[in-house]
Amino acid sequence: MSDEIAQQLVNAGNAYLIAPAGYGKTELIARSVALQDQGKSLLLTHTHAGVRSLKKRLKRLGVPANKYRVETIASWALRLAASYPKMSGITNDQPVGDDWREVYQYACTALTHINIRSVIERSYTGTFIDEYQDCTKSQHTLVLLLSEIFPVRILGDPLQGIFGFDGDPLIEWGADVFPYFEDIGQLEEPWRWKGVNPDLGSWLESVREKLISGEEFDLRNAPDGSVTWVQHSLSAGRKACYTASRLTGSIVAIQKWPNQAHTLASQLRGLYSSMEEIECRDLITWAKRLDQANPQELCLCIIAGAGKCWTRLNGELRSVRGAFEEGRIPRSRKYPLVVETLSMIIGSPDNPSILLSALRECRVAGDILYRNELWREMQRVLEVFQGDEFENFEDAAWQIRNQARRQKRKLERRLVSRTLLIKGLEFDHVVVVNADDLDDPKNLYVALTRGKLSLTIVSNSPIIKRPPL
Amino acid sequence: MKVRHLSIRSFRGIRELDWLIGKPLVCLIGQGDSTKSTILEAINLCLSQRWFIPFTDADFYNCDSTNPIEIITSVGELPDSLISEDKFGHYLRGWSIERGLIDEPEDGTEPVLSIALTIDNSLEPLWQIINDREPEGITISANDRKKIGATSISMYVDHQLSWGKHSALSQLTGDEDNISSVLADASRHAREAVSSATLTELNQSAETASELGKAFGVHPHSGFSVGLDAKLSVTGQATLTLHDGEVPVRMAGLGSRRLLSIAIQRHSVPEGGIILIDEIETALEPHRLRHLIRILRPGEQANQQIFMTTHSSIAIQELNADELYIVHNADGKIDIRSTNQELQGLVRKASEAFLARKIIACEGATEVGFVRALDQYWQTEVGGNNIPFACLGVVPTTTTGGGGSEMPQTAVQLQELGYAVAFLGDSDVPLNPTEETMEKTGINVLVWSDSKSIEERICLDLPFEGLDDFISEAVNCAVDRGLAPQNVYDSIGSEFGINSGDFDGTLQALVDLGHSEESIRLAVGRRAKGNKWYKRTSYGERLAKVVIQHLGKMNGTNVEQTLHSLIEWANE
Repeated sequence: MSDEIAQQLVNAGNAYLIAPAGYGKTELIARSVALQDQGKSLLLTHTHAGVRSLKKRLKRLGVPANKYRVETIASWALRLAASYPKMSGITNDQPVGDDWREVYQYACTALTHINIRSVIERSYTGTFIDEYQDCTKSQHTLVLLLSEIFPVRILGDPLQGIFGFDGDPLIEWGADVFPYFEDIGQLEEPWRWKGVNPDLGSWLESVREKLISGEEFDLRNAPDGSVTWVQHSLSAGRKACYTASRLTGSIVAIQKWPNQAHTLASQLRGLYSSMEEIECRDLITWAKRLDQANPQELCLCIIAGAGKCWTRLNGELRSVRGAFEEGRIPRSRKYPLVVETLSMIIGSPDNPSILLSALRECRVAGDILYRNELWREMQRVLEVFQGDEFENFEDAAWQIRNQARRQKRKLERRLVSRTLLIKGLEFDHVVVVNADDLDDPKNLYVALTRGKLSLTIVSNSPIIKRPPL
Repeated sequence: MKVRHLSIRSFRGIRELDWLIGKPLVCLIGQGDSTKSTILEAINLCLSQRWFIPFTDADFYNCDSTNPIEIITSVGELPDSLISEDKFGHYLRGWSIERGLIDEPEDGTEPVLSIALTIDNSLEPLWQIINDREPEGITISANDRKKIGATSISMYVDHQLSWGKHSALSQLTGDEDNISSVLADASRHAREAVSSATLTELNQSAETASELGKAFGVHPHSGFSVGLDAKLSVTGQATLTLHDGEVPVRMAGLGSRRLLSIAIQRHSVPEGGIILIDEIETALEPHRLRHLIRILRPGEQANQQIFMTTHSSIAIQELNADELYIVHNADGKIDIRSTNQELQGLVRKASEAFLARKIIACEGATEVGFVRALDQYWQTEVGGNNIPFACLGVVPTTTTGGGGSEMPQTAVQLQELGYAVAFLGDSDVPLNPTEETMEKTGINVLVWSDSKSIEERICLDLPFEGLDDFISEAVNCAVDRGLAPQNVYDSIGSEFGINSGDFDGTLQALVDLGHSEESIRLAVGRRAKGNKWYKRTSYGERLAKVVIQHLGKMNGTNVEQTLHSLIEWANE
């Protein structure tokens, strides 16, 4: 990658740069920081994964740590507001969900005070903000304020803006970004595919243009061997996944809805694991139920939890479930140990290790594990609760997920997932299980650009057309 | 960098101190053991760039290590490197003269950092940045404290005039690598010089040692000789010292060495810094002392602050009234009061008073001389147990000009600065503030009864024969001023309608003329006051001598009682 565009970025005032998927955005930011000869850069991203990826790249390039600070915009804003609660007005320093929208407002308030603004001004010579397609309106207000203090360089791709919260909509590039920031162009090199599959890279480049303008494109014109079109049918998606499973490297099969993803994983009988969201709502909900359950309900929760992760389990333990629901002690010739460990819960409902053994025992009644991550985390919740740090299971679940957010995720080699969960990630092979479900250009683009070696697309017609961006 | 607020608990003589500081130049004055030097030392320790300082039980208040030592300096005008986000940018507090120290740097306040040094009974010092939002505090390293640039001028200046570790000269010197190689070379040359020298006698004994050794079975490789031991010849950096030609500067006078040390230390501190000088007058002549204060005084724009203590009235005169801070120690609770511009005149003219423990605010010069002479007398008084005023820290003072009418106001101001004040004066003209007002502030008000001036009162209270002495002293004073004695006699005479030249000063003559004792007393007193016979300090002393002569016969008089009150108060 030439240093020219990196130099342009460093010298820019308030500016934006469009970076299509896989075009080397992370490398560009790292190089720009390296080129800055004095002062420190503030690097803000929208996800923890983004932070990790930037840090890794900066380290690899040998950029000295005192030249930059990398953080998510959320945690940076929170820390600023929470350090000066009286001046920012913040009252809750542990925001969840919708609370976050206010955090950015509080951070803005903090920056209106000269002494706080002066701290930021004196700490950094400028900032680079990554993944700008994920930026919400309230985050953007904060960014605009920063642009009055020092140069703000925005990097992102309008065609990948699929994220959004209900209360806090995403920015509109036309209204929010273009008027205030100088256009310094667009990245041109499809680095993700360079050297591994340049044909796929250039084909995706042409697809991008068509998606932006709303034109149609024909999958049969795509490079052979790299892109495979499969006619949609009820079983086509599954079959495509079976076929792909024989490939080496990492594979992701993309569905639209969470339940579709879990079901597909279950149907694929353990070949693919279903990917959980970062928040892992199912885990939290399960933990909440555990907190509120009476001893009988506890048993039902344990069965239900295991049933979410293992194929066949719910069916196999139906009679056991029924007995608990009616308040009886169940009897089972097939699964006596399961019944025994579950019954122990009735006797000591407050003992998390008994819950854990029961959960583990239940797997006997299951066939194949298809939600590996959830299964791991359920056990962890019960394990960590042995100590005294957590108020209840829900608290433990939150903490575990918070930790997971910051650490590198351990992902299975073959995954079923959704665009929302895999944006920004890179795989060797991609199967789009039903392209027609991805009816907006952004979701489709994200799905198509995840893989560097091969792409399998299942749809009704090989001719794809979407509304323009 | 400036210290804006200081808080101390349980450190040496200080049980409790909270002090808001607004000035770039701060001079602490106060009687001995008021803890002035301890305050400076506290600031020095808190902002020290050393990573460890040994403490002992003696450093705790009352030697009681169960109450931890706590010194908190809140520092403003901070360098960028400390305020940045990855350092302490999130821990700032706010300060302003009006609002004092508040927890967040709100608009209209200056951002400051509070640095706390705590030592508990483990004797391990802990330096942290603290605020109310973060009561646990976070550690501040020695390197970061160094950026504040606090430096103290101690008695041991020789270290500063060498290139030893942490000396100011070392900090001024950029590249230290060169020094160590130069030193290594010097060491080598010295060793070579010794081994190539002809040290006949030494080498002879070395040979003898060789022979003796052989007899015992010790065979040297090359034969024994004398040499300079590389390990023992310590030519470390500290042995590089400043020289004036061939003479090391440590041979120069203490005053010069101190000035040099101050100059180098001030310069070596980056971006200004905070300089602490205990007893600034040490070893300095008045003119060098004045000059030092003038050049140390930070300019308007300078990012610097100087703390000093002094016992010198010259130093006080050179300072502005608002740079003086008076330290009072009440059983470990330290109270610091600052003067203001109004007292500038008093500071200049009566600087000694500010260094006193107790002040006798005198109406005029007469009273000052009067009190001084009495002090001398009391020391020698037979049967008396009286300690000289000097030892008691009692100073009589007055301001001249204004006819003494501003003295009550000055007395009140001095009382409000925390001094113990007695007021000695006339009540012939109504006092402003009134006696009652003065008394309410705690002043010991001693005025002559019946609204008389000092001269009139003395004339009333002396035994009648004493009046003759009164008049002869007045004549001495007149002659001293270049006037004829007749001057005095005529003025008395005029009271009784006697023509000038006709009265010779003998009071008996007036008695013979039929005037009452009382009228004579009153007349003489009036004239003494009106003609200002005794209106100088030295004349006041002579006046005292007259009174002293006759004091034995003055029991029960207002003069005797007033003086008795005065001496009692002084000895309290």
